This record gives sequence, C-alpha cells and structure tokens, in this order.
Amino acid sequence: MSNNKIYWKGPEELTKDPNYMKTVANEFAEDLPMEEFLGDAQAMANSSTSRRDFLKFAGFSLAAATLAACESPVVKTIPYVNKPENVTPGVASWYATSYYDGQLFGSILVKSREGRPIHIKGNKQYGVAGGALHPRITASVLPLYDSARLQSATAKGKAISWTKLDEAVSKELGDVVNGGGKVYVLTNTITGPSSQDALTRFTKKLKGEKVEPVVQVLANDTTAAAPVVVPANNETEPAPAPVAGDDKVKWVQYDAISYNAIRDSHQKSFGPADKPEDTAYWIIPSYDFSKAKVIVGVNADFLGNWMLTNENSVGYLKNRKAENEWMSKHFQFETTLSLTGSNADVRVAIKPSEEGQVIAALYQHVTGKQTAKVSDAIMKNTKAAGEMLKAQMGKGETLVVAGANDVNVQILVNALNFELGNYNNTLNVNNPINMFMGKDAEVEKLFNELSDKDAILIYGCNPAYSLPKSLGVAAKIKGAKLSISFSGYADETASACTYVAPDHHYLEAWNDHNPKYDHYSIQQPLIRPLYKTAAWQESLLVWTGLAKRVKDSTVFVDLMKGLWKQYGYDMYGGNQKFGTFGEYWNFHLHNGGNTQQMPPLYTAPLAWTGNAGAAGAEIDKWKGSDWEAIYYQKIGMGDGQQANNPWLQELPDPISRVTWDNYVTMNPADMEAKGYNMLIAEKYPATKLKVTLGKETLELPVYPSPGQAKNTIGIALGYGRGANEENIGRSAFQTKEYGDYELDDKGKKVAIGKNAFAATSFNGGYITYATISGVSIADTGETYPLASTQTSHTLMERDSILRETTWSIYKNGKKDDYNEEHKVAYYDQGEKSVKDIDLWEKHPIEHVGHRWVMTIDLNSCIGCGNCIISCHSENNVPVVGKDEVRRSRDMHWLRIDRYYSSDTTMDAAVEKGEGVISTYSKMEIPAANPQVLFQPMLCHHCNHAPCETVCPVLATTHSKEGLNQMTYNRCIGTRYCANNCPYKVRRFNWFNYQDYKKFKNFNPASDDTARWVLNPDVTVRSRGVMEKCSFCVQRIQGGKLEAKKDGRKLIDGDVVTACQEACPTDAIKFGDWNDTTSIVRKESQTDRAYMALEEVGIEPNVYYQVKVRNTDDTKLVIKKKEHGHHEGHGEEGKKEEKHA
Amino acid sequence: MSKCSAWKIKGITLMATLFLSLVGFQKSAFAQPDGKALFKANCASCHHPVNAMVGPALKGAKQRWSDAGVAEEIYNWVKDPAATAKAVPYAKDLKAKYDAKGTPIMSAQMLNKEEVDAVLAYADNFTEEGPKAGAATAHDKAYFDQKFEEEGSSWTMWLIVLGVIFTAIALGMGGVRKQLTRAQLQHLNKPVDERSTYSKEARSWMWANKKLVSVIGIFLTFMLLSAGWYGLKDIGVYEGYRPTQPIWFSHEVHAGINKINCQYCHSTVEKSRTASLPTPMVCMNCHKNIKEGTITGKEEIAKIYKAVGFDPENNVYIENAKTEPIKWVKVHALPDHAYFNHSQHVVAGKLDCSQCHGKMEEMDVARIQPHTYLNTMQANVDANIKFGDRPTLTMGWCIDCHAQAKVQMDKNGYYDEMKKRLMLDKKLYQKHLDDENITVKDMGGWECSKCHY
Repeated sequence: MSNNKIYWKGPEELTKDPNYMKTVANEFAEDLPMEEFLGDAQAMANSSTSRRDFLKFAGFSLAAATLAACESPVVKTIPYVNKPENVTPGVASWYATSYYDGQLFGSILVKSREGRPIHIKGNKQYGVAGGALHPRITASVLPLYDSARLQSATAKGKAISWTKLDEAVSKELGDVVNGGGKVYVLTNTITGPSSQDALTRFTKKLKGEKVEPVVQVLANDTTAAAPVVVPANNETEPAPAPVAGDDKVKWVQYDAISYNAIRDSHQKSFGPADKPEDTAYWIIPSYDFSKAKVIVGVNADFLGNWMLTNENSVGYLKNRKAENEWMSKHFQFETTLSLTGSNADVRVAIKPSEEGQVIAALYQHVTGKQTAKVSDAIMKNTKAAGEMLKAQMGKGETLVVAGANDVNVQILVNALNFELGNYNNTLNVNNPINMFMGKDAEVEKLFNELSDKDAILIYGCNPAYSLPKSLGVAAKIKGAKLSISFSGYADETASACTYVAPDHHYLEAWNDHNPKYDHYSIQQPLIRPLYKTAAWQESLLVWTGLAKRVKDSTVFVDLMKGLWKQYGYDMYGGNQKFGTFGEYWNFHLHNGGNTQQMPPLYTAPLAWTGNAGAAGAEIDKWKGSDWEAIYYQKIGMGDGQQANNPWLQELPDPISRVTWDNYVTMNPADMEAKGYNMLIAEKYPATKLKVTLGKETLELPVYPSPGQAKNTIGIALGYGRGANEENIGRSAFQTKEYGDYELDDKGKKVAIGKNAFAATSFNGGYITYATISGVSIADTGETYPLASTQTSHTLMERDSILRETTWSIYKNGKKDDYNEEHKVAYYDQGEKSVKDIDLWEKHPIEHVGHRWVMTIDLNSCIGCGNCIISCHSENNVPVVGKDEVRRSRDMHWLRIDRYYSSDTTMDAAVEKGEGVISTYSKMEIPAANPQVLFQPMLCHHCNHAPCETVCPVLATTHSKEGLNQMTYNRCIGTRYCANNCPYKVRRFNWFNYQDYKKFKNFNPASDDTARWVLNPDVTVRSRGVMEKCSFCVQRIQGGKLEAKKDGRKLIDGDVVTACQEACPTDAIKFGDWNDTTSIVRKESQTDRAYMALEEVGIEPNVYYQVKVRNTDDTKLVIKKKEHGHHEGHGEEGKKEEKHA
Repeated sequence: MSKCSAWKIKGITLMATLFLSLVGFQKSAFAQPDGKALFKANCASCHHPVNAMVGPALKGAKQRWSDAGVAEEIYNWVKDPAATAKAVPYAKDLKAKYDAKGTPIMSAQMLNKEEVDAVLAYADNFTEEGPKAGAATAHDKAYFDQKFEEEGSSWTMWLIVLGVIFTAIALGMGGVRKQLTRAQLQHLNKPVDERSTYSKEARSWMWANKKLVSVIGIFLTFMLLSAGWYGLKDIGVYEGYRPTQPIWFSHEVHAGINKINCQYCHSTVEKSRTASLPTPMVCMNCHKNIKEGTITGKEEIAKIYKAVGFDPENNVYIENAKTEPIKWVKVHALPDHAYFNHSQHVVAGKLDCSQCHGKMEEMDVARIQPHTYLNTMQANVDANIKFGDRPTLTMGWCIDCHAQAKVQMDKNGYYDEMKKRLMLDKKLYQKHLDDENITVKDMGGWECSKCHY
C-alpha cells in the first residue's frame, strides 16, 4: 500500500461498538423478516384465521394461480391513427430544452419514447457549462408525472373551469385597481425575455399605458422582410380596463436562496458613489474557476449549490486533473462540511460569525491593510491561504468567493478580488450572470405593506414556505383582496391564495431564458400538458384582455417567436445566415438556444469606488456566541422545490449519506461531550434535540458530522414542506412502515423533516442563512430513526480500495510511490505480482470481440451524485423509502462511498514512541476536521467474479464481452452472490415494489401516471431476485447494433452509460478495452490506474485512478521500500506490515 | 358456397395462371419492357393509372410534362426526383403539390428510358377492369374461411360428442335394467331395495372386479400425469396462435396478389425493435381509392374509414371527425423480459421475413408459424437452419437458430474489426476456420444478457 491513512465511514465504524459491528458484519443486516408477520403473538392469537383456513386459502391460491397461468392473455397492439412525423415506435428521440427553476439552470436533452419524456441528459454540444447537470436537474423529469399535481384551476381550493377563473380574475383585478389597491406580481428571477415581455405587457396594460402589438410570425414564414405587425388583440378585451396609477403595479423578484448582497456589493464597489440610482454595476460577474490557481471559498458551496453550480464544477475540475501542468490550490473555510469543502485541499472549520473576519484576515494578509478586527486564531488559520493569494497578486489567477448574503462581507470579497486583479480574468463582468435578481428588501417591504385592498400574483416561488416565519407571509396573503398563485401544486403559498391558475410543468411549456449575458436558451415542450394547466404568461395576457384562451393555445409561443424574430433574426441579420425565419427558429430550437459573442458591457476598466474600511467596521459589529447555527442546502433538496421527488429524497446526502430526512449536524466531539447517540443504524435511532434558533424552535434528530465547526450546528433547508398538509406532491410526506402516510395526533400527514427557512431572518435588508446568537440545544429525551446508507455497507477491512497521493509525489515520484503493485510470496520464487498468479483459467476476453471497461478518476469525482439519479432514471431502479433504507435494503445500483481519513499517522506515533495498540486506538478517534474521499462503487463485472461461482442456478454468468450478466428470470433469490461479492454492490429485490402498498406513495412504478417515466428497454424487476449494475447493457446492445447497421467499427461514444453521461466532471469513462485506440484503454494503463481489491484476484473490469491532492500531507509519505509480511489481513496484518 | 364450387374455382385459377404465364412468356420473348409488371413492381404502391393517390395519376403524365415544355425531364425525374425538383420548375410545383399531402418526395427509381415509356404507355392505355376480371381475384371470403377450417381440425370435438352419446346410452341402459330388475322383484313379491343407487351399484361392481378396476385406475393415473406433464410444457407456447382480428385483413391479397412490399406497411422493421403496424393513414394511401375489396366488399374497408374519419362517398376527410385507433390483437407477443429487435435481425442479420414468419403472402391472417413449417422455407433451407423440436417463439427456438445461423460478416466494417480481433486468438479462430462457420452463438448469441435485461 502506498499510504498510511486510516479510512472509516462513520464514527460507528471507528468506535467499533460490538453490537453495531455484529449487525454490519453480514451483508444483510438482519435475518429474514419473519417477525414482521409472525412476531406479533397477540395479533396472531386474535386472528380469526385458523391454520386449517390458512391451508385452504393456500391451496386455493395455488390452484387459482395455476389456472391463471394457463390462460393466455390477449395482448392488443394499437397503432397511431396519424403517426407524428418524428416518432418511430421503439426508437427514442432527443429534444433540446432548458431547465430553470430560479436556482439552477441546465441546458438539457430529453429522451422521448413514444411521446413520453423519460430521461434527461446534458446538452454537451450547445449548452451552458458544456451541458453539465446537477442531480436536481436530472431528476426533474419525474415530477411531471406526479398525479398530485393540480389538474385544473382552483378557486378557494375547489376546481373551477378556466373560463370562470378568467372572468373572475379579470373582474377582481379591475376591482382592486378601482378600489385604489396595488397589484403586486411576485416571481422568482425571470431571466427569459419572453416572460419579461409578457409581464411588461401585463403591467403596462394595468397602468393604462400603450401596449405594443405582438410581432406575428406566420406559420410558413418564407420572407426575410420586416416583421409583419398586426394590431394587438384589442377586440378581445372584455371591458375598458381600469387604469392603475403608475406606482400601483409592482413586479418584485425574489429568490428563495438569495444572492442579493453580491449584486449590491458590486454596485457599491464599482458604481459611482455619488449616484446610487445608477445601477450599471448592479451585476453578478460570471465565475471562471478554470483560470484560478488559488481558490478560496468561505461558506460558499460552489460545487454543490452556490450560483451557477454546474458551470462552477466544470471550471473547477479543469485544473484539478492530474495530467495538467499545474493544479489549483483550494482553501475552504466553512461551518458544515459541504461537497466543496470535502474536495478542498485545505479545509478550515469556522463559525458563521467568523465569515467576515476570515475575509478581512485574507485582505490583511494580501494587502497588509487592516479593515476589521481579526482574532489571532483566524489570522493564523488564514495565513497559508493569504500568502498563496499574495504570491499570485495582480496576475488575476485567483478567486475568492464567499457565501454570506451580507453586503459588507461581499464588498470586502470584491476588494480582495480587485486587489488580486481577478476582475476581467477569473471574474468576468462582461458576461454577467442574469439569474438571482431578487431584492430581499423589496420582498420584506411587499409583505409588510400588503393590505386588504391589494392584489398579489405569485409565480415560481413559495414565500409562505421559504421566507422567515416572522414575516407571517401566509396570513398576509390571505388578508389580501385578491391573491393568485401560478403554482402547479396547492402548496404552502398557493393554498393561502384565493385562486390557483396552475402553470405547466416545464417539460410541457414553452419558455426562453437568459441565464448569462451571452446565452439565450429555448425551453420547448416535450409533451402536451397532462392536466388542465395553462402557461402563466398566457394567463397574464388573458386577464388583461391582451389575448384569448383557446384549446391548445399558442398565445405565448407566438409572442416568443415574435420576439425572437424581432430581436434575434431581424437585428442580427438572420436572413443572410438562415434565409427564412423558420430556418432560424428551427436551428435554435434544435440547439436548445444560442450562445453568441456579445459586445462588452464595460468598455472602461473597472474603478474601485467602494469603501473596504467601512465594510470592515460593519463586520466588527458581528457578535458571535457560544452556539451558532447555519442553514445549508443539500444537493438533493436545494430550496425544497422538488421535495416531492422520491429520487431526490432517496439520494443519500454526499456527506452524511442520510436519506429522506433533515437533521442537525454536529461535531462528534461536541456530541460526545453532550452524551448524544453517535451510532446511527437501523436499531440505533438518533437523539432528538430541541433546537432554539432565535425565536424559532425546531425538534430534529442530531447526526454526527466530522468537520462541523465546534460549537456550531448545521440544518439543511428545503425540508418540512407541507407541514400543514398542503398538497405538495405524492411523495412529500412521511410514510408508515406498512404503507400509507404517517399521521400526527390531529390526523394530519407528517412532513419530512422541519423547515429551517422559518429560522432565517432579515438582517439589514438581506436574508441571513445563519443564526449567530440565541441558539440553544436541549435533549428532548426522545429518539428518532434516521436512514443512512453508508454505515450499512461495510467493505472488507483492506486498504487497497482507496489510493490517494499528493501533487508533489505524483509529479516527482514513480508509480510505485503512490500506486504500488500488489505482490505475494510465491513458493521459493520470491515475490510475484498478483496479476501473474491465478487460480482460474483466463476468460477469453482479451483481444477477442469487445471487452467493456469502466475507468473512474477519483481525482475528478466531486461526489455530486448526478450519476446515481441518472442510473435510477435509466434502469428503473425502484425507490424503497426511508423504512427500507434503514433496513439496508436500498436499491441503488451505483452508490458513492464517502470516506473520512484520520489525522494520526503511524510515523508520527513512532516518533513519539507510542505503542502499537495505543496508536491504533488514537487513529480511531474521529478527527475534528477530516479529509474526505468519494468513491463511486458499482458492479465491477469481475472477470473472475466470485458471485458467479456460487450461484446454484446459473442466474449470474459471464459474457464473452466481460459483462457479469444478471438473468432475473433464472434467479431464485438465494442471495449467495451478494454474500460473496467483495464490493457489496448486489441488491436484493425484497418486494413487489410496483404493487405492494408500502411503496405506492413514492415508487414511480407503483403509480399509473408515474409509471410513464419507466424506461421501456429495461425490465422492471420483480420480488425475489438479485439486481445490480448491468453496465447499461441495453445501451451496449443498442450501440453495437447501430455500428452493425452502419457497417462500421464501434468507436468511443457509441456506448455511453447513464452514469458516464451524467458526470459533470468526466470522472467516469466507459468503452471497449479491446479497441486499442479507446479512451478506457489509455486511462486504464496510466500510472494512476488501479483496481480495487486487486489482490483478491477477481480481475474487475472497473479501474480507479489514484486521487491526487494538492497538499503537503504528511500522512501521505512515500512508502519506504519494504517487502515481505503480507500474510494475514485486517488488524494483525496491518500492524506487522507497518512495523516491518 | 359449396365445397364443389370452391374446387371449381381452384381449377379455374390454376388454368388462368397457366394461361397468363404463357402470355407472359410470349411477351418476354420479344424482350420489350412489360409496362404492367414494371408498374406493379415499382409504382403501384403510390400511383394509380387514373386516380391520384399518394402521387399523381400516371395516365397522361407524359402529355402533361410535354405540355409544360419539359418532355425529356420526366426520365430524369423518375431517376432522381430530388435533383430534378430543384432544377425544373414544373417538377418543383409537382413536388410542392404532393408534399402538401404530407408525403415525402418519391424515391429514386432505377428505370431506364424504355421502361419509363413502357410504364407510361401502360398507364395511358389503362382501362378499369371489372372486379371479377383477373384470375387472381377469384377467391372469396368463404374460400378463405374454409382454408381456416382445414387447418384447424376438430376431432377432439367429435370425441367429446361421441363420449356424451355413449354415456347417455350407458346410463339409459342402466336405468332400463334397473327398472326391469325392480319390476321382476315386484313381480316375484321380493323386497325392493329402494336405496339402490348408481354409485352403490358401481361400487359393488368395482368390488367384484377389483383387478380390472385397479388396472384401469393405474392406466388412468398415468394418463392424467402424462397429460398434465405435456399440458405444463405447453404453458406459454403459442405455436399456431391465430387470433381473430378486428378487421378481416388478408396478407395474401395485399402482399401476395398485389405484391405490396412487407415494409410498405411494417415500415420500421429496419429501424426499430418493432416492425410496427401501419397506421390507418397508411392504409388510406391506397384505400382512398380502393373502396371495395374483391372478397369482403365494402364492409371491412369501411372500418378503416371509420378509424380515420373519412367520408368515402365524397372522398374527403370529415372535418373534426372523431378518430379511433384500430385495436389489433398482437400475434407475436413476447414476454416483457425478453428483448427482441427486428432491425438487428433484418439489417445486421440480413434475415428474410419468411424465415420466422413464413410465406405471409400465401396466407390471410397472421399466425405464429409452426416451426416445422418454417423448416420448409427456402431461405432457411439455404441457410442450413433446421429447427429442432422447440415450438416457435419459445426460447429454445430462438437459440436453436442462434446456434446454426451464420453471422453475416461480409462487407460490414463492424465485423471486419471483430474478425481482426478474433484472429489475434489463433486457437479460437482456428476453430472457426475449421468449419468456416462463425455462428451467432460463437459471437455470444447464447448469452443471457443479449436478450434479457
């Protein structure tokens, strides 16, 4: 082995609680679940079913089943009456569209089978960030089929026809205006020009201003002449619209996770100081992590959720590749261990109240100027980062980002970046981000002023859920004269509104977006609306008499086309490049949008007009306290919009590996001091805490999270949706052990987790996602079960699974220094490589035909989990729910194992003269701030697969192409294979997930509508069989077939697995190893390539590549050349080995 | 129609065919292109001599082109419509006119000038034939129905009927005997056992004939067991399955008599896993004009019109008509866990449809062809494929073929590469060289996850 690090997966494993170890020693943590139905003696005694009856029923069932099997079902086959031109039954089509939810933007390609969108991948060719996606984007196809969506417009909770709704709303809007009330439109940030145009038309019309007619594009536009302008549909106007005063119609934008301070800080840093109304510098520059040699993040989870996170990931990884000339150095200062922090080279735990000080300290290190008072400890902790930044001074090759929504911190960040010369280098102000335009102060003002005379229209946000509870949003909305929500669900906000005019799901709707200055994207519908919903933009136009609603209305898309003609085709000389507008439109529709060179926004260089000193003085006023709390976003939940998405609920958090819940994260040392339960497993529920956060109190379980700053807690946002039983989706509530929803004392459905948004607060006009005073913690004395996936899977206690090294060792050393070959003693011939010794005959896979191989670069994997969602979507993996995950019966075919590593090293202990045993026990003490390593783990398709030899019925066999095939129809469920799998990647299908009532509320296959999302090329497995990663064999077969049909050699890219396709950082590569020109062939032969558990001799077809950290990690010393002492495994073996 | 007259018609058919083939022979002796045959082979699926279908009526086409001053271009048009449409304004208009009907441009036809002339001459001289004129149309529905009967014999029915009759006779006789005994006893003034029943009597008879009964009992048990065994073996086997379809559609009429290519209707067979059924709109390509079948009259074709909402009287699609898909009964229904891909077999494997589906052009309603019948297909004989005793559409049948069928490696870049790699392993390749035979099985065609995933 190449390093002396000790890895563990959770404190349970470290402390080696005997009971706990007993439960996890087996592949299946518990025995057959007989007790579930036989254990309850009383229930059995009370049952009226006698043994004789049981036998009779059993006999009858057998006979009935036999008879039923004899009957051949008549299958109908129904061709289209008029087949859509682009549909070939059995062949998927892909359409480009865009995902935008106010927080995330993704350019996507959607797979459509027979008209049903079923799978999402990135638009690599034309998309933003090279089509990199995020788990929430990949999973967004599932809520389309949620049967809990509103199926028609509603008035006071009752279904109502659109005609009636339109009449009522038009009238009431008039009443509000006549009554002197104001009309507020509250939306998330609308970046799309067409939606903005619709909104402008709505407000103008209400104000009585002149509304320009819509540019009409005729269906067969063959001319390239000036736009055909037809009069606005004034004739459809119901009555002379009343005129509101100029200030009486107000459009307010609001982002659930606000970046308001970053925009304001740029205005204050570069805008003219004497003219605050000049908003030319009210921008968010785009962040180019690919150019940054030193990256400093302060509570900004830029790989997980912060800003355009998918673009950040791509840029960040560009210079983290081991093959590069240089590697960026990443410092992360943060409270809760985030995805970003776990990828950092140096991570420092800080309290939320110290964010400002950290920036001030860095500023001081770089410029020598003091702005705020900084504690000595922070000065010391930031020294390394500060010096590295200073070394790059003026080169523009660094980047400092901070997450705090505080304008003073952000001004200091800007000052630091400005001094470092990052503007126009790593920070591009000439291509700013157009998302996150929300103004927190305006939202606060809106709800403070909303009166019973006013009207409020709410789109794309859920203020009743996501604004601080102290604002009392729901009550204010209820008190308004007219309130309308465009939400697709009767959610927290919509249920407080009088009317709900549900918008389409985004896969049913037209739209366009302008997420960045240089990119305009088109969102096209993939399917006709499933329910009676209507485009919200159309509703706005209809209510002001600017359009008429008809069946299959094209009002909004007509408006959109008109704008694209006017501002795209006509303005940029489209007729020269495209001929007709039709061709122009189809070109962009096909590409999903357009990225083009735009004229720079700022011709003059930026000039600093801000006041860093004043900002520092403000930071001085921050007063931390004993306990502080921070509210963070999980990668699966984000701001909670998709809380109804079971794929995301079951996606384990990358760090805690907990599913279906939120919890309080706390440092294990703190927990130990307080005596809370640190062993979380099926029979070990978590301690339930009562957490007071200022005025809010939440009761939540506590989860030990190494890396959490001491004396702080972290709580994830986005949970606790539907706390008052609002309709927010089928899968968004807790379910009972045997199905149906969990109900509380009052008979209400219980929400999943608790809402941490309630505890956020307005602080000087900005929403603060932390509480730095008034936090207290108390044990309720109760316990609460948590479903964590990681601790339930143990690997063999061997050290050849993970390999990591440092940049300097990798660049200066030899392969053996960081990736040593496994050797064993062989009779009297000395040591031989394990590759040369084999118990088995070779499989005829080398050279002959194909050999499918996957390589996974641990250096590129950031642990985001997008591959897991993509695998779910492609392979119809069942969702099993919290209770089953707790029983270690999660069905993920692909998981991402997270390993912490320890502080103590053997060498250091030897120097100190400590004994072996005490060293080991010290090594097992959880470090306060461990390093993290992510390892995607899936079936390795071993060429000498241990699972194959033990299957009594040959249900798992090896193919000539190196695949470990799983034949469900042969499998009788002995589970021998799972017990014999060294990687623990085989999953047993315990239930008829698609039929059993336990799963009906969340498993997609259990619902008639949600079933449409299933991939028709992959079997839905039944109860009692083993399943596992198939290397997407359906895609392999498909790729081979295409090559055969074309009569050409199969090349890289013909077969792309779902996980590979989803990986935003290209960590996963897949291909034909026997093709000597293939990428996997090259990758598998690099010096960093190794096979996990190679010494077992199972010859896996998955190669990992050694993780390279840009640190001077003393634990990762170059191993001294030593031989022998390889006998034995586990503790004994390790001890001997290290002292040899 | 009586059986006798059916035979008569068969005779007439035979004679007519002989006569026609004689005529055909004579014609070909003059080595002139046969306009009618060329028309049927190349044009008939989209054109009609006098009616506009997918494409325009061909009668007078030559005149129309020459009126437009582009008489010579018509030959280019047939050879390369796409290019001609760009070059010749008349052709462009023609394309636009028929494009509007939602059909793509005509595909290039490999016809030389004489052949085009022959086709157009045939169209110009075309006269509508009476429905009974051609020999080939001499079938009627009863004839087809009768062919069904022949194939599905019903001897089991007769056995059951006979069994019922014998049982009735036996019971009747027993009753008579009983009455007689009773009468005799009464006559002799002996006590009559009123409780005497059939079962009692049967039991006493069985007691008296223990040996015979036990032999019969053993025999019956074995019969039942073996019947059960074979019954179980038949579960999921649908060889010969021929369900009744919602429309009485004859493959013989379409593919056999009218020589419509299989792919005209099953159009995705080269692209997709499914061969796909034609939409009723595809039917309408022809049936917009052919409103009466020679066998079924108007009744069956009317079902298409109903499905698409077409008014045959006025030859128009009814506006906003309610359309209704035709619910065919699936014949070849594979279970969900078996993946089958038509394009794999037809394009990569270069199989002929008949190798699995038999001569559809000779039968009316589709069925799962018996494997013994498939063994008689010329294409299977040529390919040395002989199915064993596994019924069609069972897995045994699939892998039977995979073990025998040679991979079509020639002129395919994919297989060139595969062959190159095979040669790296001398031992393996030598094995293949010995019998010059790389079967599907050799390439992994017996592996589970080739079809199950």
